[in-house]
Amino acid sequence: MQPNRGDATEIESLYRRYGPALLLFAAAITGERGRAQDVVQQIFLRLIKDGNLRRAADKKAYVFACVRNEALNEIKVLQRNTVLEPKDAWFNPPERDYAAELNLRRALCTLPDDQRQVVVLHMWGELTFSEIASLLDISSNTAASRYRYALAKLRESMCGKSTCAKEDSCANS
Amino acid sequence: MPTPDFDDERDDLFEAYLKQFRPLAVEPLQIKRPSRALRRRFVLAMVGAVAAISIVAVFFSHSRAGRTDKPEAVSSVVGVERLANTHSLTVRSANALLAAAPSFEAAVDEMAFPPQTSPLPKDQHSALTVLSEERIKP
Repeated sequence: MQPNRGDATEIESLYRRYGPALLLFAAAITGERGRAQDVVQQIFLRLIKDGNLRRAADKKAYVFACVRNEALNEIKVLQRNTVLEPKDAWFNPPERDYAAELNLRRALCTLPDDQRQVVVLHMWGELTFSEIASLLDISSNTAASRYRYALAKLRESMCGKSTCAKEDSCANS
Repeated sequence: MPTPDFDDERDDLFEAYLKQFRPLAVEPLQIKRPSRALRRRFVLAMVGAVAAISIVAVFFSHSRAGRTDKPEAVSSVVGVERLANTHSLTVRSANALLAAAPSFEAAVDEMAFPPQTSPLPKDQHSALTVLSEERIKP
């Protein structure tokens, strides 16, 4: 099935809109920003070439699912453990607080894979728990509970670090 | 920027703090479109190919025309002569011949070997006529 011009425009629009969140999601799985970028590019080029997007009911969820599968395949190919040590930044921190960015990135990497995926999908991918549930093939309640556990661990992890930029503020408030 | 309260159990404040971290922008999608230089090169190649084919076609058509001019002229002359000499045999002319001829054989001879109809000028005589009229002295 060949895509028409409208499909390509829609795919490029999706890429611009959800590209950053997809890139973060892929990085949260592979641990490498460069590899994550390749994964996202491959998915979108394939979508343009094959024209499979028009068959998807929920295009946003479909693209996230594609990126997840491709990223997991990348990990399988590399036969790598899920211990993530990302060297490149994942976020634009508020007020250029790069220490906080590093802190958040490290805290995310300490989360179990399933919790990390859920928190990235919900917080930055803006997917509902229902969408996450169908994407990860779990129940909505499981998705929500994973999210809550992840938030608690993140809070604990980020406050426990000496590099936490907001430690003083936290303590004072 | 709201101050996050990490010690607080309220998730919404912590979520608001985390959402201020924006994921980095993705690189532009590298769609492989033919570059302008590549397109120009392709157009030039196409124009060159068309020009070469046209030149070859013109050359061949000219050479063929030069080779066939003379035979065509000769054949056309012969054809015209043949056309001038041939008498069309129709049903009407055959009936007329049969009616006028003294016998059937004579009519058939007339059809097969039509007589020379072009009359000679007055000051010229046919050699056959002269020889047929010449009296041979015993």
